[in-house]
Amino acid sequence: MQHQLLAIMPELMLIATAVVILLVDPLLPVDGRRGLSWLGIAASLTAAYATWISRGEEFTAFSHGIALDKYSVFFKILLLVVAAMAMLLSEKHLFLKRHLLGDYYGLVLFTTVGMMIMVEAIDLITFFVGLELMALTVYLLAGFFRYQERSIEAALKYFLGGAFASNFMLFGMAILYGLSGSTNYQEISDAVRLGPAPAGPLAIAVVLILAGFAFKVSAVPFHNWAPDVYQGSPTPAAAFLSVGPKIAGFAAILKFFTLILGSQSGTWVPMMIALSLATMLVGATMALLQKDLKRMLAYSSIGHVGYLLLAVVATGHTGRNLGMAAILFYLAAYAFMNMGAFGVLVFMANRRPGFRDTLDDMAGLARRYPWAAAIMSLFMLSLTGVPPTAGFLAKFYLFSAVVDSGFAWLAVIGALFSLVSAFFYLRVIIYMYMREPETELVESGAGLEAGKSWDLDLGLAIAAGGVILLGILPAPVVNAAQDAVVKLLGN
Amino acid sequence: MSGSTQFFFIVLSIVILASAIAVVTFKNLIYSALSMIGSFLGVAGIFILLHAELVAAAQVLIYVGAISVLVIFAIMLTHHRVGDLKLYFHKQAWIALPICAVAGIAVMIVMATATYNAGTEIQNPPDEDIASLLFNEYGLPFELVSLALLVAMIGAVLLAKKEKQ
Repeated sequence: MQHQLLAIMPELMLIATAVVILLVDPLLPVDGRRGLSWLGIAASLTAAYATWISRGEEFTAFSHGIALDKYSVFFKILLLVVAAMAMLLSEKHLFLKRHLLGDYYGLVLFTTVGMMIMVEAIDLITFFVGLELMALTVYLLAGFFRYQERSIEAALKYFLGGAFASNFMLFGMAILYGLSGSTNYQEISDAVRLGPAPAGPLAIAVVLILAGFAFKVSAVPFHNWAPDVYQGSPTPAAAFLSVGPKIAGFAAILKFFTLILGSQSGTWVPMMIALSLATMLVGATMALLQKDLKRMLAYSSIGHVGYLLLAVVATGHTGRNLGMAAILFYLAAYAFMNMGAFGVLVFMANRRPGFRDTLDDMAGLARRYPWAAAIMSLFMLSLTGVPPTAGFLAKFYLFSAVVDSGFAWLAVIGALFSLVSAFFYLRVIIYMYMREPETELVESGAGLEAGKSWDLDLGLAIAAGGVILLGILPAPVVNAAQDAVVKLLGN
Repeated sequence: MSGSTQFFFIVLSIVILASAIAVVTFKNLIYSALSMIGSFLGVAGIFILLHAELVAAAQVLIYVGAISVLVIFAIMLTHHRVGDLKLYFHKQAWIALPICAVAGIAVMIVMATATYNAGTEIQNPPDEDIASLLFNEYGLPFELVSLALLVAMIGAVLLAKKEKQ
């Protein structure tokens, strides 16, 4: 019993900090509010440390509502690092745009709490409340620049689609409850495996829940919101919501489909294969057509979701542990490279007030900002999957897990799409290094000074460091991922 | 399900569905909001049929009482243009309708022919039991819901606030 509150100590720390930030924010002058990002970062890192020191313990708390095991520790630390990086990337941008600084960090912390609950939940009700907490806050982050039409449009689209997706999922969960008489993952799993669960309603529940998840991680055909939302959101917010909710979503998908519906893989594996193929196809082809880099990154992230879904297919077959570990490592690599790519866009927007996130605006970047161009090239190479970056190893583990589980043909298709994706990633590098800008963007000296910020630089350095380290020294993270999936509580 | 229960269930379902359709088809927002109250009342009736009187009372108090009034207030305070609004997103309706109808009927047939295992029918569960469940077994989600409501409130203020500048 004494573990109850200790179990959610990291979450409590974030909630307390978020409340303090929201209360203190209006009392501070606008310049003083910039320090609040550091409060948020400190809280995230402290919470990550608190999670890390509890890594040896394994127990369930709150009447089997949440499970503390290596799996949730892995994801919670990853999410907290992502939140800290998101705040590093945001600070200067929000300051330059003069947008209510403190509330943003409070919302990022609340989102992180919701995602952490999603990851550790082993009860449908707890899970759903965590999901809604995350969803509500990400809609707000998308619409944070509320004087820009695009930002409000993004928030509205995200909200309407997200509300429908949540309701589909809730309906599916209600059917699962109706079939099993319980909201607990373990008990549903037993009821589904042992009891004569009628196949029809079970299939409907799987379809509905899968549709909800597919929206949350932006898998085709539930992906249409992603490009509009990423394009309209403030760029640092887009960095966060193209990574955080996807990590939490996949953590929950894995728990759902291996813990609860592991015995029903015959039902969901074909659906998952179809989703994955469609997602890879749309992600790769649509990204080719984009001139706007935020839209391009949106379709690229859809493509990555397709690869991840391939590995979910593998977990439903013989490669349960291998596939799951590959997904965990892939998500860690994806977090660094995707946040980094968006981070470079934030960097450019801060330096050049007229920056429009287009390919043309990237032309000649290498001459002007050699470091930014080099680092962007690193992220693009990693997203393509070129050694020795994190992206290469992530794809390597993932595809070999898929091959191992007997789906070699799927892995081949995945590799082909990955080859197509090289075109639009490398195109960014070509523009940066080999194209001359059509109109020389004038940057006044004062503007240049104003755009400098060492915390954004630090955020980019961490992202780049993560991409390189995971690429050449992957062993600690790979081991942690393999440990994490051996035993999920509630199984 | 006894004969009278079944009769009332059908009546309530018709009320709920008809007023839900009215909510989305009325062009005047106030009419939509008023139809929503009809839908909420119907749901409260279903809860009574299920012997969940407490939930029914909460449904009437919160949804019919508080939320609907708030919605109407919000419409009156923000709705500067009086008159009918145009309905957007209507081009896909004729494609969506048959697809949804087919999918919906398929789901209904599958669901109606299955047997369920959702425990036994409880006659008048003591309110203490509900309270104890809410604060013990579901304590964590209960508190998290309050956090979600806090976020929703912050968000409403954030989006609607006027900037001092």
